[in-house]
Amino acid sequence: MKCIETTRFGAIRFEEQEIMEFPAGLPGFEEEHEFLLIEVEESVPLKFLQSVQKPSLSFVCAPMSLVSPRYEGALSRSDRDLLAMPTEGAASGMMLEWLAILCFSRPEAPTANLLGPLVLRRDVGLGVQSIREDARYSARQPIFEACVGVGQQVCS
Amino acid sequence: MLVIRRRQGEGFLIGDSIEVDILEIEGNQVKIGIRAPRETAILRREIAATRDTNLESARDAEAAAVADTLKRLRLFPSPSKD
Repeated sequence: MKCIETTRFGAIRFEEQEIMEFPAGLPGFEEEHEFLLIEVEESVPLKFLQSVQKPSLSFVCAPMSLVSPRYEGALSRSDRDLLAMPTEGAASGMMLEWLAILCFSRPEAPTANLLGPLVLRRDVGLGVQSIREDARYSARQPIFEACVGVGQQVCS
Repeated sequence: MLVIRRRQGEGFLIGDSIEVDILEIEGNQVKIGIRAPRETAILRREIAATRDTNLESARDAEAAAVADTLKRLRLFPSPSKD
């Protein structure tokens, strides 16, 4: 059992095998390779990507299926390699978890990064922030605007 | 914005120390070679956009803003599982 003193959660204990390895780090945080995906009941459906090496660093994330229900994922060859995924065909049934990092620079209008989703393979503890090469999605998609039309009655 | 037209095999210079070659054009993709001093950062634009939002995301996630977002997100229709 390991223990780190985090800024967001205070002391957290975890087992070595819970660590998600990000072989390439994240853009802007290239030196950070070890993270924990923290899911706590009181924060469902949000999840937190907590750095192991730098306890002050954490990202707030939401499931892609929630912030962009019709999101179509795309993974480059190099991201597949970072996730140790086998060739195209064999990978189709593989369980990938897609998350969007949220940004609160304008607290009243948070945004989600749909251009660079986090893609996790929980089965082997590998993760990557996969930057899309197309321009279909924004790095700053307002999350409470995306729902207009789908759930207007609850979002207005 | 300066716009110039180049063919495959041609190139251009930026200042004295940056050289750009158009290596290959295929369909809607262009393969570009860049020679630049080691200290010059070269980033695909979409990576720069994500780096900037990552830096802000790490800095600005105050507990109050997160709690408010959580409250609003819980009103979302739950995603369909397919």
